Amino acid sequence: MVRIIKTDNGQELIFEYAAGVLDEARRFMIEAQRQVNAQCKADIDLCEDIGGYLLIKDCGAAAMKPSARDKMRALLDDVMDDDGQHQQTMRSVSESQCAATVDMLKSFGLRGELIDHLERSCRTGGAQSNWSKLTNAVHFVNVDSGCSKSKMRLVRVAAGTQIPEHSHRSEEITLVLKGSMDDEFGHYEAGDLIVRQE
Amino acid sequence: MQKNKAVTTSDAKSLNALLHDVGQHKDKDAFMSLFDYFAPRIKSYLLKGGLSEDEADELAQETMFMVWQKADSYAPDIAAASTWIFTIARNKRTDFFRKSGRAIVQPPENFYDLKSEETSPFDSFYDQEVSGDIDEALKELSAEQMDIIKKAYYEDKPHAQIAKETGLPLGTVKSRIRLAMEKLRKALDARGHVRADQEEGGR
Repeated sequence: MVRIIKTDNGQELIFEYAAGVLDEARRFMIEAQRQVNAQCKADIDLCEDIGGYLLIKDCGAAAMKPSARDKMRALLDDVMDDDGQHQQTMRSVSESQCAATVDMLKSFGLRGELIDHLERSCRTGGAQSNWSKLTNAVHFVNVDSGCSKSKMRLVRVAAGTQIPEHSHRSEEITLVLKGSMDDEFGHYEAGDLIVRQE
Repeated sequence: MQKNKAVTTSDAKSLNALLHDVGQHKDKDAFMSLFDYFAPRIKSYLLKGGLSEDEADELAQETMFMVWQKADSYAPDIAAASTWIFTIARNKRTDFFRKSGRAIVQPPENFYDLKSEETSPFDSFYDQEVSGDIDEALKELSAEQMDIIKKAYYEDKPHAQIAKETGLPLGTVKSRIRLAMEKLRKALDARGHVRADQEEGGR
């Protein structure tokens, strides 16, 4: 039996994301939601503004080591000449074999470091980076959750079809990236986050 | 703490403008002014999270170096420099704990009372930059709400762990945070606090 414990677009997860206490897998989910859900983004922006405020107004200042300033300036001097070469290296990344998957995710509005992670995950995932068939209507691809305790996968469900009934031993977080879906508890549109627990 | 003597109070640029200059012009002097201001604050933030002196010092430097590297993606009309740099420090801290797999050390009880050990002529100037809206909105929180918010931000602990350590029921921790955020959102809405990217519909 699946029980929904939160359908509030993950307000608690959003706060924990902004405070930096989520594990990698949950962090990816909330980052993805931020990119496709305007309200989620506004909530995170507010929480991060508070973080910036606390950093300046509340944290206090702890003296750096006396050598810190010189060390930083020396580091800048070193990298100034290397910057051009570094950019060149970044651009020469080999063509991804899973470009289609990445393009699809970009078309849903995902971007930035999240897309970089997913692309890297696809590229290094070997056979795991191929779409697998669960049923004729449901395909999935595993991606690196960045966290040994969690698994993350992209799931593609053909319009008008059903995901086979299933259960999980622990928490399941679903972010609708495109289209909409229904379950026994409600209707969800793109950008909605559903957190379920057995 | 040494200060960048090239910048004086009268001509000091705003933090946002300094960060913008770093991003657009690789301005080292502007960066060092940011370093002088932010590195000690980031170190303090990391110490509150349970890092040792050496770890906090090192990670504060790594954070500032990442600020240098990524500054070209900073847009002052979208976020304050303090917010932008906070997110980098926060992610660095998260990565540190993830990679080290180390238990988080409980900071001393009076750590929240830590205030600046050092001040500079620039501090009060920069402090004025912090959004007055947020300053005012946070004053509307109760002491209990503010305490929970700080615990969540500083100690790198999920709500369940805060509940365990404070002896409060998990539901109470969650509701205090939720109510605090609702109060802040309402207070900011009442002040017409809208970020530029929210008006445009996306960062």
